[in-house]
Amino acid sequence: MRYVFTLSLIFNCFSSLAQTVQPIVNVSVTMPSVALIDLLSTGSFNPNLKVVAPTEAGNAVNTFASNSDNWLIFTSAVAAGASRSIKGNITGTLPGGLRLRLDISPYVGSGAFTPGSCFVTSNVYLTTTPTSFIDTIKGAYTGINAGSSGYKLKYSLEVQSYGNIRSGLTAITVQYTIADN
Amino acid sequence: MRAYLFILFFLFLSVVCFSQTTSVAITNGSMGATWSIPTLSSTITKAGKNYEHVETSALSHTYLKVTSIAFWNVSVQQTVSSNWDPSLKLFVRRSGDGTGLVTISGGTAFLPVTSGNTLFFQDYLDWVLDVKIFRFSIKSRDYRFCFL
Repeated sequence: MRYVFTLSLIFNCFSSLAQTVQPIVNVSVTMPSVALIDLLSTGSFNPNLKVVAPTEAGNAVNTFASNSDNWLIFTSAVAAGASRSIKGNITGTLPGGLRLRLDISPYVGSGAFTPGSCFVTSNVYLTTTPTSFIDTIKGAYTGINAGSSGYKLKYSLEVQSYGNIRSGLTAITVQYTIADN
Repeated sequence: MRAYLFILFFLFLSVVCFSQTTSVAITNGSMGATWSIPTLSSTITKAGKNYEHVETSALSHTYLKVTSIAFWNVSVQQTVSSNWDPSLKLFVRRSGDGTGLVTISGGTAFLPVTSGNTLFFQDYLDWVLDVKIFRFSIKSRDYRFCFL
């Protein structure tokens, strides 16, 4: 019992002498801004949308092909409080009487986003004027696997003015841009 | 690409001595006790990708000098002072045994630095009053490329 008491006394002595000091190391990292955007495809990067002519007199050309081969991917890092959006536009002239519709599916994949960011705002009709369809992009990366990472893009044609439709082949280019808001 | 994030926080090293401590000092030469990374060693060049690299300081980046006798330990914790995103993880390790008559244990593997006070390494046998010099390095790791 005497030994126990002695041991306890020693540790009490140490405790009473214990002191804490806190030297400091300053650590700082400057992170660069990042804005990268690209397309992936499970098929062709050049979808061919073909209007099918009616087979019976008096019917409309009401069967249109669509294409969902392409996926939009991006990486973004912004300064505090900043955000970006992705816009799409065409270069060239659409065939008369038709408009090009872009449907954007919700994100899929194993990337990561700043919570509450990267909203698909709406499906859009692509024109020569850039139109935003994914907004509030802050920190994000989508992944890089075609068919399982990013936002699936669906192109389709719609009749806007039947009387202006003409036969023939038209090639246009769709351009995507990620830019600061 | 014109916006930049600046991130700063303090790394506290708590030296607890169960004896009378003469002094504790931490330095890394002419730069003072600072690790600054103005430019990352690697950048993302492909859309859709995350950062996959780590930033690691020099092996002998910071020196800790303890003048004491036995039964002391060093703990580590971080205190965020400005815009440190939680997706950036910081690690620390002791990269050497230093000099002086001392037997220290722990701290040779990278230890995650958190807001909680975590034991880093300790001395518990020596009773000789002496000057000890230790080295450690700091490692930053980006798990997710998500910044507010």
